[in-house]
Amino acid sequence: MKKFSEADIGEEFGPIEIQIGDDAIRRIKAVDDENFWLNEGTETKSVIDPAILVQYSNILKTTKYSLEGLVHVNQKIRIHKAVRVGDKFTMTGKVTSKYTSRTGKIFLEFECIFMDEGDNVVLESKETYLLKL
Amino acid sequence: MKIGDVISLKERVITQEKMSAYSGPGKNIHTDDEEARKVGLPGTIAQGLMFVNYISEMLARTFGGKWLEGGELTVSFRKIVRPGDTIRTLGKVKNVGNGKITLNVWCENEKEEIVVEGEAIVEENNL
Repeated sequence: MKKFSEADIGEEFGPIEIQIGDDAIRRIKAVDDENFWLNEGTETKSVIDPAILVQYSNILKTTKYSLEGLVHVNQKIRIHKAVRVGDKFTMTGKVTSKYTSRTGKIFLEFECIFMDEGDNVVLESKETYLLKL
Repeated sequence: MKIGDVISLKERVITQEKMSAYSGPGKNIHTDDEEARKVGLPGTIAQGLMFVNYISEMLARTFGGKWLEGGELTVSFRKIVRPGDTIRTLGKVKNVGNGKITLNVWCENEKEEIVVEGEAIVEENNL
């Protein structure tokens, strides 16, 4: 499988549908020490951290590429709507930039949009990776 | 809120169990020492997005649902975090105006080394 570092600027990924279920609950519980988002037995329709959606952008990338050699150095999110357990989303992604810094390091930017079932934007994500070629 | 106000989240101890639950299933640099050593790391490291969640939780606790409908966060991952590290998550208001509250946000380890830092914006009109 080709490495993500070989992706072209403008290359698009998805759409892929995801649902906030057991997988997301497991991840939220791993960072929810004080049960702010989830209380035992009350997971159904609980509001959870929308930032957890960013985790799922790897599903988009790995439809075409391996993630070998990527170092996640920067993350931007813009939250538009709250996210609840059980919600379904469609995610799409795009490589928006690839550039070399003055020190010779190569960076790649990947933007991802998560839409709800009503076609409303829920979360926008921009990930920056240092490429270890 | 006013400039200089500080917000924080209770300290969190990073464990391999949490890292594996967050970044698994499957072997990767966050869940498997061997995979981490293959790329020159001393062992597993916590996934940076865990700290995005910590910062987001802190902002949700402070700004309530308003953070969850219009918040913006930009962070850079500065240092690796390993199992056993203790992480403090903090924010400090740096600007209030033009309908927005802007905060410096960061996570630091028990040595007070910044591991993640950036900026968050909350729409004041949402408050």
